[in-house]
Amino acid sequence: MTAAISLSGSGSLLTEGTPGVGSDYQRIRYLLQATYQRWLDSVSLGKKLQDTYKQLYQVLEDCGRSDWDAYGANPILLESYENAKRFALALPFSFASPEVSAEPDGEITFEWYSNPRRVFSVSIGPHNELTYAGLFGASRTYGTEVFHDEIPEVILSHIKRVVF
Amino acid sequence: MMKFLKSFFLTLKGWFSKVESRHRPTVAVGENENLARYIFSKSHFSRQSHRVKSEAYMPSRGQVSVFRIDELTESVDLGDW
Repeated sequence: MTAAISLSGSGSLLTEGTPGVGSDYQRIRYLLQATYQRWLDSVSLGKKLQDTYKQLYQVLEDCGRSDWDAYGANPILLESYENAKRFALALPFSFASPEVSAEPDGEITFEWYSNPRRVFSVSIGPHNELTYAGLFGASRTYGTEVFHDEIPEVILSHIKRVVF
Repeated sequence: MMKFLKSFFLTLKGWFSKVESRHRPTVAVGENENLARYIFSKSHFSRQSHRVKSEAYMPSRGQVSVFRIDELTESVDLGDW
């Protein structure tokens, strides 16, 4: 039997959706977990993720109650926070840290900003759904994708348009 | 007497509504009128790039509240109460 674990080159390699069964798979998974933890402990690879986690926690703390924006906003739910953490974990290490904020509907937004005409944002709520919108000079994009621990390629390519 | 009181009342009413309308903004928002959106969440301002994020203007239930500030002095507008 062959254990199969997808190495996508992003932080998503250890997420729950990784396929595999049996003792070989468990062993490989354990080794990857140990390796991944070392990456996270390093400043060069782990700092960006830790910074994003800090921002996420701050948003949860500030916006975890109703009417946090004084205009009647919905609170950020714990499910949204957990989904946002999974999203942050699935981002490739090579990407710049996004800025994190809350939306009035209770979703958490990740934003990559280069200038007013080059910006991309992705929102995630309590369900496995990513809503995105971007502005790249004269062209613009928006849409919705399902999120199962791996960030859809269409969203990664849009982020690349802003950060690289 | 009743006729006089009625006409006196109408005159007063007209005078008060004139004074009131001078201080009340028109219903329609002017093309060049200044509007303000006050931000109450730290997460809506980027310290990194010193800008207000787009999420600060996101509608809630299809609506965005703004304030008409043209008649306000700067100290009142900026919350120096």
